[in-house]
Amino acid sequence: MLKATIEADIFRETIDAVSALVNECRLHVDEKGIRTITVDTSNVAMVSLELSASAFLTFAAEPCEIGLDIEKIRSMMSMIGKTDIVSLELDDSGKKLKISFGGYEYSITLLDTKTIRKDPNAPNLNLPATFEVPGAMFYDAIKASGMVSDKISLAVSADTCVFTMNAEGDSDRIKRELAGDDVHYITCADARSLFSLDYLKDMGKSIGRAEKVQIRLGTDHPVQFSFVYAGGKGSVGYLLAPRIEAD
Amino acid sequence: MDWAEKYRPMHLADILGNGSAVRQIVDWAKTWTPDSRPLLFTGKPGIGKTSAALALARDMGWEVLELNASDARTKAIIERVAGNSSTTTSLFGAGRKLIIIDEVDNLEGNADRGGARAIADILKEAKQPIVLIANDAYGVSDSIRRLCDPVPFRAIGVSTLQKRMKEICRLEDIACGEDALSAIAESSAGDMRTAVNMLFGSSTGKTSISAGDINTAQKDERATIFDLVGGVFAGAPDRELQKLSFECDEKPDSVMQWIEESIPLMHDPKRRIRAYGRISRADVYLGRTMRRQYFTLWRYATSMMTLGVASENAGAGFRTRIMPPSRWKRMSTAKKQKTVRRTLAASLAEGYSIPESQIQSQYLDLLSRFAEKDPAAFCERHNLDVDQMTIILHDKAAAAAAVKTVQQAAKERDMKVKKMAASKKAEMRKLEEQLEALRMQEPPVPETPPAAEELPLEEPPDEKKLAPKQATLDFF
Repeated sequence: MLKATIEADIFRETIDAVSALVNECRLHVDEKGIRTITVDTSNVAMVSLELSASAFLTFAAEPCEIGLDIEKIRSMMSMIGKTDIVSLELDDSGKKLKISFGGYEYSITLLDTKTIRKDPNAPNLNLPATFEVPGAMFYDAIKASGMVSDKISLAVSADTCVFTMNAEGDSDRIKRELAGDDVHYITCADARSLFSLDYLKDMGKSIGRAEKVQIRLGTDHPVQFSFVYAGGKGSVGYLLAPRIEAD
Repeated sequence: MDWAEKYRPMHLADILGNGSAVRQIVDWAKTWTPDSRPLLFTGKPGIGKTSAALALARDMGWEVLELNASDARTKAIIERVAGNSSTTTSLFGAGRKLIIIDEVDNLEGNADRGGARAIADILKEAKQPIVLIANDAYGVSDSIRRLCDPVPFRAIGVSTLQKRMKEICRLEDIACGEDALSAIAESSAGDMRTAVNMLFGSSTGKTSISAGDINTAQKDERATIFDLVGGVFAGAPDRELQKLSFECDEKPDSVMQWIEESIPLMHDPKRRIRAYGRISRADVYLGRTMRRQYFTLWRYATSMMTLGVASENAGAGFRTRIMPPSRWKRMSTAKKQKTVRRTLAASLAEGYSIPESQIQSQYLDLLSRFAEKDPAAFCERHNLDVDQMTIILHDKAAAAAAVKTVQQAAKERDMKVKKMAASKKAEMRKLEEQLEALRMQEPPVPETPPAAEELPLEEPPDEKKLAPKQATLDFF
């Protein structure tokens, strides 16, 4: 059972964060809120999202699982006004979700949760460098790098405590260094990994909206991004596997 | 759960038959490096190709990424899924990822346009082990096949099938007679999946199976062209021939060619002549069918070629060795030969700036004199393959030798370049480290930390200002 209302903005950010990587997901619903964890089709990136019940205007739920076609919801997003209140209601059979907003009522057929791949176990990674940067600054650097290359290296130097993003294309290069007040270190250690910009661009849209994003980085290890939204009531985590370097 | 899935072999050791294929796979996996070639599993459906790939990943502790024919496999999707996956490490800490691309011989559909090309590109770039699976090795596009090492899978023997089914029956607590098992094993023709499905189908809701229960599962089986042609020459009754030709999936014109292929084997010359008469009559009907687009005539053509030939052979039935129409083979060799000639002329035309047609008509002899002098150099200059060299040199062995020399040389060159690049890189890194060390040492006063911080801070500012400026210009 699920019956809830939520502000359009928070709803949109929730959907955007997940749809950046996957087309469908399994949503776990209980009294505390909603959460999902899922891996993209090529097993390269993972997204986990939690939105607590307090982020909703009203929220009543019993524990259940919902198979959501995120792509469908994303495509109707443009119909939702900025200040609308979106109400969600699961029908009794549990096969349809009614989404109402601004006079529209959209009934979406849910996916059988058996057809969605199993939830991954969040891997236990040893990532030495942990720090926070402004989301917008990070996303700008990603966008800029996209102009010259399809991959980017993220690196932290333990000596200087500078966070370097370096994108090298065939002929051109873009480098962005963050230091001083722009980076807040929790632990500063040597780390360097190479990542696909395709994925970072997709994730970046959500990251860019966050005031601060926490990055955990290792050497030739996946990178982890985590940030909060909806006034701290929702949290998103991304995990991205590194590219294998050419030689 | 259906049994084919339930009793899928979990480990390579459980794969039935195909010992040499399994050994080859294990060797490949154990010695795998990013330079290893991908494998191409080929063989009939249901004999354990996909199972072997999945079992391999499980045995090695590798993560699996599967790309099936049921997924739309356009260029974009293949690049996104397989391409990204094959160049990244695992997200979950597994050592490697095994990328399994199933049914690569089924890529030519409209939805998969560009797919073959995309897969070939990925194979070249991949940094993770890849296994391709196909029913028919020759259905796989050349560009892909050339990049893979083939692993042929063979049909599973009747006794092996029977043993496995007995095991399943024991596990499922079903009494099953030997006759029933051997009936299933025979009719599944070495296809494990079909056999297990048949067993599953005939045992649903029962606790014992006898041979009589098996038939239901065979109902929608199709007749093959071999059954039909065999029937025609063995003198099968008309009714049966009609049934066979109805169940056979071939078009009448190819059926006619199959039958025609065996007519010369008839003993009595007079009967042979009359049989050819029937075939030619059938051909007339086929011609009329096409000309008038009146497909009802097909039935006369079919009757004439099957019943007609069978009746001419009446009483003298024999079992013939059924061969595919030899004209197909001749046509395909001719076609291949033509393509080789054309591509050869094209490369030479480019090399000597002479029109292709003139190369073909006048210069081929002359150029083959050149080639004979130094085959390897000629081969390398024009980038020719064995077939093309054979045409030029009129000698298969010499052509193969020349191509091999060229490939060897190219390989050595490649290694050299790689080595040089690696050593250059190492040198650069060393230099950088020295520079860094020098920089750190420069201010020998105890003020080292601030100085060290100052240095990199001083450099970045102009770059720092530049980067966002570029970004904003382009994006807002």
